[in-house]
Amino acid sequence: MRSVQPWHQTPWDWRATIQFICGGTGTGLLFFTALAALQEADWLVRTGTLVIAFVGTGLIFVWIKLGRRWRALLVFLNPRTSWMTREAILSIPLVILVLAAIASRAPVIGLLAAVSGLGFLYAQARILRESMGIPAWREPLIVPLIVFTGLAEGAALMLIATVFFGAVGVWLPTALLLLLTIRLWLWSAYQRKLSAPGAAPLRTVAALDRANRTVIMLGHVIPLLMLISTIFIPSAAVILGLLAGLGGLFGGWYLKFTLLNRAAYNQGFAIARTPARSPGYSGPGAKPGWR
Amino acid sequence: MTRYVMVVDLRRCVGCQTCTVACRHTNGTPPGVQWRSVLDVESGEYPDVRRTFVPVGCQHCAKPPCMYVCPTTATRQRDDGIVTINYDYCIGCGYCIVACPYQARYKVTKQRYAYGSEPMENEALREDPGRIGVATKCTYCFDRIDAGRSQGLIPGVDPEATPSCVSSCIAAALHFGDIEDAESNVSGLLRENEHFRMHEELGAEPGSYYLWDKRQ
Repeated sequence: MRSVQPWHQTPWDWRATIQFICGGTGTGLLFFTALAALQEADWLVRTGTLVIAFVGTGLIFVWIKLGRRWRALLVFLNPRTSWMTREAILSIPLVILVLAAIASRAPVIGLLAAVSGLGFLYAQARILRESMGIPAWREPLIVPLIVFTGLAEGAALMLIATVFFGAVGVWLPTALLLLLTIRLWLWSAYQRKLSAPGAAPLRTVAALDRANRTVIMLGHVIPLLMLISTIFIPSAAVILGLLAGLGGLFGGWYLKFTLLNRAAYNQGFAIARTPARSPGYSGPGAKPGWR
Repeated sequence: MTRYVMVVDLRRCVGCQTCTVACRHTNGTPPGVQWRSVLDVESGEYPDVRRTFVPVGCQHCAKPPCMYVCPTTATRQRDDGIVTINYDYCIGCGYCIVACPYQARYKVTKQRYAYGSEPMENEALREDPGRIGVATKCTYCFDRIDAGRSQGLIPGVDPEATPSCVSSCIAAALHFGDIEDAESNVSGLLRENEHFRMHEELGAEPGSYYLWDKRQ
């Protein structure tokens, strides 16, 4: 007999998580690469190749997740209503423009690529939002949360890259600081909203609770403290920036892992009323696994 | 216009799972795949504890979330409201499965049989390699409906033109018919009884109505 409690979704496993992680980090990095390229075009080559690696890895993992891989091109057939189709369509100019930006070292093409990257990132967020069967995903706050998580990951990775390729200016750690603050606020608001009675299955709430401390401390508070510390300890700015970047990156990845692989319980079942049967009268309804 | 719906009389369902078995027999679904199943819901607190048997499956929603998210248009809706999957178009991305708030969709990646490596007669008859690696779900037995209608039969009235789960129900708990026809069996049941639809707040306008008491 089937369980009446919500159970964790299975069709989107770790491969889907990698796609969301790589897609978000790649497009976030692209955004900051395009900004850095306005100062020095070489950034389009330095981190542009990393963007291709991330976005490409994500697309490969979503492809191997398909049950019928050799029909993958049919994914383009429903741009009218499907955000998965829209994401697939956006991936074409994204990849072409990034390759063109790397080849031409033209900052304008880099900016165009960044715009298509933002579109791709937004489509990723909307894919989750439209998943009506998963309460943790259909919550509207998931859209800004995924978008700002991708941007924060990109800024974090860019900051890590500056350790190896040279600094780009104070705007980058400032941007990371701002993005981590926004992401922390969004995560807290999202978690609070899902913890309200009737907003999500109890197991989803428990999974978010379990992840909360790690997401907040390792993914936000410690990186933020390190970024602020660079003001007071400029001699350690490089190492503090590197650690802040690693923390910010880890925070985003762990957050997405939690959303997709730990908190994604389905809707379950519910009855609004129990039937009027042996006692002769009906009773209140039931929604197993929900508060 | 026609819109086929299912009416489930919760007062009558005894949880025998005959509908589940009939569906599996008719459609040859593999182990673990139950396009139609019956939940056993316990509720209340001692001493007022209740046990309710709730048949579930694809609700053939009027606004099916699965259809909107499908990137290939494999999932479609017929004029009579039945939500279908074109197995030749489905790429098995699983998006419809996470979009369905009724947990009605399945995907299996290899053929399996109920008893070991050899198929039973009905499994061999209904075996379809096209259903491997793609999303599957209740079809409302539209092949029976279409065949029946072409012979002048009425779905929901004539068993040959009615989904096998409904035809097999031992307690007349399951009913099927056209809700747009005011004279149909299901319209009559909905007029005479209190009813609800599951997760109605989500706005998918599901096509399964659950009766829970006589209308006062």
